[in-house]
Amino acid sequence: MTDMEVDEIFDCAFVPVSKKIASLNLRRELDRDIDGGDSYTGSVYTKGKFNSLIVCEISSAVYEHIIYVMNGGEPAPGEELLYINEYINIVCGYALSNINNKLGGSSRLTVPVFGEKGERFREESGKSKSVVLYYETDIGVIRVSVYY
Amino acid sequence: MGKTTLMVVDDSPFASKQIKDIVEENGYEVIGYAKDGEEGIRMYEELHPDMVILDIIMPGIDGLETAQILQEKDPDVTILMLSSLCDSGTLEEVRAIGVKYLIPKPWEDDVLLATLELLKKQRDEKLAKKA
Repeated sequence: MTDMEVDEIFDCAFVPVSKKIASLNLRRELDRDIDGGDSYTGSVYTKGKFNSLIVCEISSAVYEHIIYVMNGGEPAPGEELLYINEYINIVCGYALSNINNKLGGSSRLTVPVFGEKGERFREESGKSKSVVLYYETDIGVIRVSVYY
Repeated sequence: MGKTTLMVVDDSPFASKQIKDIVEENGYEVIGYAKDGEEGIRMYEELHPDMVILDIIMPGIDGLETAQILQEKDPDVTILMLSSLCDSGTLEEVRAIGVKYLIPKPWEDDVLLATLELLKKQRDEKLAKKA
């Protein structure tokens, strides 16, 4: 797949699905660095015909907003990760379904993993190609890197 | 006649809450919620719900394997699969194990309800034939 196709598929997943499940209006902007100390980083792999690593950096206000909206209020202590993981699972699954249909194969998503606030993702992707999608909202930013 | 009973197997409390809210307004009763396949199998044997709503991507054994184990234990089990992965290949895998319907996440409520109604009708007809 070309970078442009991967970019378009993930963009067409993040924007509408974030609005539907997390009431988040994402505006695509040029890529820039995100404040690592005030953000959460999560990752998920796709395995199969489309092998990739997707890394999502989410500023803390957006992270908390997603959890709050998906739960309909403050979640019980310790349940935060379940909501943010489901957000990533739904958005990336939506994108991967389109990739699977395009490639004619069935790739699977792993269960997402998120670190603590300020904890950066250190694992090497080992992939040769990548696309980055940077989004602003009224309360913070989301930066998505797809290595494939 | 009692309400049709459901069990939800999904590691996400988001999905479980959303399902409970919509189905209980429409004549169903959620009698169990399991957060993974292993718990779902144990709970099914204990509760014997009329239908099982089963997510595919979960920690431990996934929804496809869970469905197969449930089918071995109870050939009459009625399962509706849910997944963020809803491509044609995944649908083929779901159908290959004998599950007819796969609903995408995020779902439309009317699609979820219409599919449950269809499953309920098919289940009732199957039970009536057996009686």
